[in-house]
Amino acid sequence: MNIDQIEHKTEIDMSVELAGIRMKNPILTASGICGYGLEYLPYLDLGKMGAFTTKSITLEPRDGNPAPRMAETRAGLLNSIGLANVGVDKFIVEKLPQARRLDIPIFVNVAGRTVEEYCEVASRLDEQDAIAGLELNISCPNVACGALEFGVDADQAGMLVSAVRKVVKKRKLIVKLTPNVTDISDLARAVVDAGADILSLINTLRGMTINIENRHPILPRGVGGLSGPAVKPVAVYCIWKVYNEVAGKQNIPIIGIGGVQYWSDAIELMLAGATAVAMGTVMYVNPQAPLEALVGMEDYCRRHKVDRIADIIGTAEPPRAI
Amino acid sequence: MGELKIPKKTYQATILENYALRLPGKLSNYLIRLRFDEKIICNPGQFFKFNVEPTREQEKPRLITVNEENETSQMSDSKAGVDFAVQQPLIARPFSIGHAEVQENTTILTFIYKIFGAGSLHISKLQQGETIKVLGPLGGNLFYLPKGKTRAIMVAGGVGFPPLTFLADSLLKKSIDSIDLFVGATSSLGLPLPKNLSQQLRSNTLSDLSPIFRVIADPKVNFGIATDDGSEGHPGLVTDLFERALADSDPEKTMIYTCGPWPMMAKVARIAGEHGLNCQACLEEMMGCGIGACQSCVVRIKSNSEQGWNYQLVCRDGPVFDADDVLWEK
Repeated sequence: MNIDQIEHKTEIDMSVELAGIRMKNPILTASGICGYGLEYLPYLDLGKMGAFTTKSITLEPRDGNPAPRMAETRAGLLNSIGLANVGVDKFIVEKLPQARRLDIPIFVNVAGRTVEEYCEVASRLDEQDAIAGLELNISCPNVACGALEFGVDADQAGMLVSAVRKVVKKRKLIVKLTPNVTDISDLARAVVDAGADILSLINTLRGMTINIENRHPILPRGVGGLSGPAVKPVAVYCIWKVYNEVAGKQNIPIIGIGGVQYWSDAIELMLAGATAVAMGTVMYVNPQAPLEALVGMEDYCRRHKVDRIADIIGTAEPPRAI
Repeated sequence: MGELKIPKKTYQATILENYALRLPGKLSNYLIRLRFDEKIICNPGQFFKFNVEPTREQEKPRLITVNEENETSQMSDSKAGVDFAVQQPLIARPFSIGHAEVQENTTILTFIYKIFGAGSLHISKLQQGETIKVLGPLGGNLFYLPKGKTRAIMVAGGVGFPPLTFLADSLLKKSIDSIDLFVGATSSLGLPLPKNLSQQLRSNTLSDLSPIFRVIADPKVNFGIATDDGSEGHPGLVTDLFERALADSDPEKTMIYTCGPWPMMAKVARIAGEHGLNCQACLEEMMGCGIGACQSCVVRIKSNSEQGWNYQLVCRDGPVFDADDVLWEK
């Protein structure tokens, strides 16, 4: 089947609902991958996606880390961009009006150094009608005074999310969780209790790679965030666990993220409990991957006699030995 | 400097040839020619990203069929699978265009690459007649010839050669009085040139040469080779040839172009600066998306900011930069 035929095949309902936000299909872009929206337009019709997530926006513009900012590893990609972005003011004036033209829900990823900074950025973005939701990045491994500190401690995370929740009145609040914790359900519980509408998981895993000839870590900061197919089983497990222990019970939707490359990966994350699935690293492999995945996902529904793709969310069978 | 307005997209290109220029292996450069079934306007400095995923049949997830395969084939597959798993690359790899034959319904592009890792190794194994998915042409700021310049000196190191052959070809089609084209490598094996180049040049059998190399024989081109170990051409650095050529240069009329390893380009930039010559450098950095979204391929470019520089992206703001603007100290 051809990608252009997607819209003519109407018998499968591919739409999903994410805390009241309607997505025409479950596929969106992961934060950091597609910049502010327009960069990918010549290569991918973003308007055909379910939603779009911007890269992280901070209060002040940030240069990011020195090069090299990326190192490919086996079936994975280590990155250390360091939240390079234009800052919230320039984002609102220059980038958002253009992204708005995509005519799909826009999620804006928000990062900061302090609770005050998160709140300041979030409150400014909350005023923007073009935005459907704010995604709090409490788990970036690539900045020194780390947002990751919020993300690994349930009390800190809960405190941050409560504070941001107070200033985010009009937009949905998504909180992005890191797998770099002992029990991700503790974090999920804390941020849901603090007012998160949606959970997104997983962020990258901390990793490192060393040039064995000169013995220097390849990334300038040593550590980087691991993404790509290598992390998919971690994503599946975390989503499955959070869905079964926290989100499913409280009706909190999950945006599944982590190593999705093909339609089968997206289906797997949805069976584990994801309502929507974000694609990231694969965009650097094949920018058309999201649209190709949608074709395969529809086929899967047809083969499994599923009329609405939303019906497969969280329907993985329990493990045999439980 | 021309900003690009032409649409860029993904193509399925057919491989016309793909072979090691010298001895196959890690030291050699490889030449690959791709045929596109449409007209693609390309300019010197632009590059394509090559998809290095497994080919289409392998790429389809085989969730249903896996149990149906017979055991023998699984055994043999799995042995290959081990090697493949170790080498399987992920992110599409960027390569500069070395030559373009553009016609109304066809475009043939030539690239030269070196086996640097899993991605280029994968590409080196592709066979004539197979297809490869590519993204491009990419690049935001490209080579150009400033007004009043009539002589170009081009200094290339290894796989930095192809963007300069493309540039030379394009300048020869416009108006240029002379081009000095120099290429260096650590040894003869690493030169991005065919093994029998000198014979072909001597016997004037240019039709046997791949189109990318034909600029070398143009009467307006003064071609020079340097190898560090002296195994071919000038024994020493390619920058020696460059300095020699500068002896009779007129700063008003001479333009310098360079592409190659960072220290070589830094030296070319410094020498050009000392002689008051304009210089454009085609840079490289580890790249993710290739289109300005992921913010990976940063280089430090001088600016009036507090720290004196800002990061710019090789893929979107380059790959060609004015050498004076680049912060060469690393």
